Amino acid sequence: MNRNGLPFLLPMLALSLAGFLVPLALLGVFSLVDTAGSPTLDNYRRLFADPFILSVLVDTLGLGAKVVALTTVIALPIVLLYWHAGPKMRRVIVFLTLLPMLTSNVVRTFAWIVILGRLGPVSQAMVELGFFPAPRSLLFNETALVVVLAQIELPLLVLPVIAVMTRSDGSLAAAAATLGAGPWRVLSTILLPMMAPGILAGWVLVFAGATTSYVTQSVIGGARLIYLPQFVYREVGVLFNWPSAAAAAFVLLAATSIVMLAMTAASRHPRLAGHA
Amino acid sequence: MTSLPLSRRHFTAGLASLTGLGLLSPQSARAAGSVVAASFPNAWEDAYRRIVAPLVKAQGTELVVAPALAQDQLAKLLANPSKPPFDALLMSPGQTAEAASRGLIEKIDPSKLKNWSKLDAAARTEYGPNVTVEINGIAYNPSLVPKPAGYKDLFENKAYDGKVAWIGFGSNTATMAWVEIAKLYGGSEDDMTPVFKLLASHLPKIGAIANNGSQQMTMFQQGEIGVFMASTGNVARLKSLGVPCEFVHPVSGSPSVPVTIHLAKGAANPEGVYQYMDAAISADAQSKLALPPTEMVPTNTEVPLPPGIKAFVSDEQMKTLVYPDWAKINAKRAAWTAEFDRVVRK
Amino acid sequence: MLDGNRPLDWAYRLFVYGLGGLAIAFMVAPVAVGLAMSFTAGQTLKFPPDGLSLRWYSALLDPEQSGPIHTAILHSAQIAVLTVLGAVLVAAPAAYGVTRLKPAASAAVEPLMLAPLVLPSLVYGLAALIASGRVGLSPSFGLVVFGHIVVFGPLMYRSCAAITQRLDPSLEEASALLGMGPFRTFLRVTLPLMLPGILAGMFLVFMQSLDNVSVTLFLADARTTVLPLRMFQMIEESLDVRVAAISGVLIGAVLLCLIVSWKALEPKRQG
Repeated sequence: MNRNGLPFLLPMLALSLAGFLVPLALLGVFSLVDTAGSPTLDNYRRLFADPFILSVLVDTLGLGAKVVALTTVIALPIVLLYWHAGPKMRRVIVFLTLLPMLTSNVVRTFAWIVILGRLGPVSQAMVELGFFPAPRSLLFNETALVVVLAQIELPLLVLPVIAVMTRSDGSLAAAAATLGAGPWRVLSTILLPMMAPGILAGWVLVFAGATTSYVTQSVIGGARLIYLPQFVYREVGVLFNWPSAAAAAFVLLAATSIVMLAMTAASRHPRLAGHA
Repeated sequence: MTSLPLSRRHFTAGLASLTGLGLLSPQSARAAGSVVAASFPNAWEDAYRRIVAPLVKAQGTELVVAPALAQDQLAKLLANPSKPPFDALLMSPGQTAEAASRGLIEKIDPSKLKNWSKLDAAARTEYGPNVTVEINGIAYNPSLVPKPAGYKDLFENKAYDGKVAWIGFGSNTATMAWVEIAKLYGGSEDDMTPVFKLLASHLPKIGAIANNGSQQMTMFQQGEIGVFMASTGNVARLKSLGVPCEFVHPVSGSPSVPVTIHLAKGAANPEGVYQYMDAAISADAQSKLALPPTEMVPTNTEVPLPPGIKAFVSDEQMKTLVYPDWAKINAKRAAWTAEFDRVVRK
Repeated sequence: MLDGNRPLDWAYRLFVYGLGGLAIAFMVAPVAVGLAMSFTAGQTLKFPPDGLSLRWYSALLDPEQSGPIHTAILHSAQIAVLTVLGAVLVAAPAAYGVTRLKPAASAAVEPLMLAPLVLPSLVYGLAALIASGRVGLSPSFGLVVFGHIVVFGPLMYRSCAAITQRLDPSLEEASALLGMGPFRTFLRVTLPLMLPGILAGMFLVFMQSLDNVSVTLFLADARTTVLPLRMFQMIEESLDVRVAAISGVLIGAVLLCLIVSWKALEPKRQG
């Protein structure tokens, strides 16, 4: 079977090389010069010497981790619902999952402004239930941002898991149940390992989406929460310090790549990949 | 470095086919006899497309109005100084100084503008004509808060606790307000220390800190905040949307900022840019731009202030406007921007 | 029913049906709120809306009021269609070719081809702007399409590879025995089998391209105004209801397509 597949790959490889690796390499070079054009490590030294920027980096990775965690907790019941549903219901679930993707990110983000605002339905319900003495805004804090990002990124986790489930047949789970395994045992010993490759694929997308979504971070989080994308935009658009922006962009890239490489390595682990 | 020529060949080869596809787009080829003019998004852009573009068209040139904030115009020019993406720019002095010092804009030849002599003397600058003066002050929602007297009121009167939005030094409107506030609290155009001290101690009582002026307008419409630093144009826009909103001149004077059309260095069609400048400062255009929903203050002396603008600013107030020293501000602006982030961050 | 005859215990039932229902509600609620707001009779986005009307849908369709939006929709649709075409041309053969490589070789090229998927598109936009400037290209419509193919092509690849990696090798062997070369095998045998993957990929690539801000922000020229950027500007300053109406139109269109395709598939399943 190992006949030559290279001619089929050439266009995509050329595109990856010319359109992707070369620009990235140039960005790397750009981050290693000063504004006058001579080589320097100062852009990175400045980033890592500044506790403010370091804490921005830590917060950005933390935000990604929190969103991944919340998304997973919410996605699990959805995919189990899908697993137990009949073919008609499965279609409805797929459509409902696609629905947020059909709505522009901009609209979803602004719908959340209305929902979480001072005069929005959540605040009003809290007042009526007696939790809040007066209407108040639930926006501009990290919890709100994590919740909103989880909703926005949810389809990116649900869809890959559903895809894995559709390809697997239910005979193993059915056999286990026949042999007397309770539903929780079936879930932990058969379903979860089966879903694992989909979950890991989804985590990578959710993490990348959450850490880099400039619009949502700035609109829902407000200017008092600062993450790396805002920092990069500010260096480019307000301060015109492009080498510094390139360095910050590279740090963002390196940080996300490390997390994702770890996830990919985990997905190759025989115990996680074995059942797919 | 040997890899660069190779990559360049790959890159251009890949792109050759795509530019072919790009030509399918009806508007992608830069038509002869057209001018690409940057304009601020939404209100400005709509108004220029509606009012100024037909006047330029009458001179035989197509005006393409491209929405971009002054900062974005600068960033795009910097990315590609040899082939500027815009022929004409629209900026305030804060960005003009940057663009001039980086050699991105050219001095103009006033003899090419028929309406130059009709401009207010202050509106004739070497880098282009001022098309309006934005008058800044405080916008408030009368159904949420009492009428503020000035900036000090916003920090010292309990009625405003949790109701006021602020932004950092990326915005011209905010920067001018901070300069005025610095003066009130013992600082100056190059000493912002009192402002940062005030901010740090006042943070728990601040309504919100936004990333830019547009976000503040969203929050204002949603009733999240009741006060923000605004231009008369912002207030006119909110009123036209039916939002309860009023404008106040701070007792210390209203910081004002001219808006100028610039000729980008290396512009594809400089003659067209002059036609556009001339149209934008004509009495015809400015008398229309002075009406709602834009209500831009005219710089053409032949255009009388319409009643709508007079309601915002009287003829006497026009004489007491405050024009900040942008050279001093720009020298420290980057440092203030960074400092602001550090002070307000949770 | 997939769990045999044993009844699910009540805690598990509550977990799956109770929490599952709640989770779906959470996922869909903001979309519902956005849709509901698009039918407001009032001036700006509010929930609950100030009365019901279709005025914002008619405002959206009116070329007089919404001309710039129509231009942006046209640009975005052109970009998305060209991106989808480019992605199919590049990624579908690659997903086939990778199955004909030695495992070591495919393990080496796959991460390279998938890398743009996990790169923050903000970083890519900045990098592509700097690189294109170096080779003397200014931002343009073509450059945006190129950037989108680079960034979203891998979605198509992944969608197609999910199918090609599961194809029965005997099919190809049979086609080789019949004297068909690899290109004819690809066109006649593999491509038709890949169709579901290509269609799914087309949907994903189209939607992502239509909603992209970061890459377009850096690579578009002044004339190429695109929909998501325009929507962002409209909503940020004036909470313009037409933005919600655009989403309403899109959801309606896709719902219609899905129902039609389900109905079209129905008889085959029974037959």
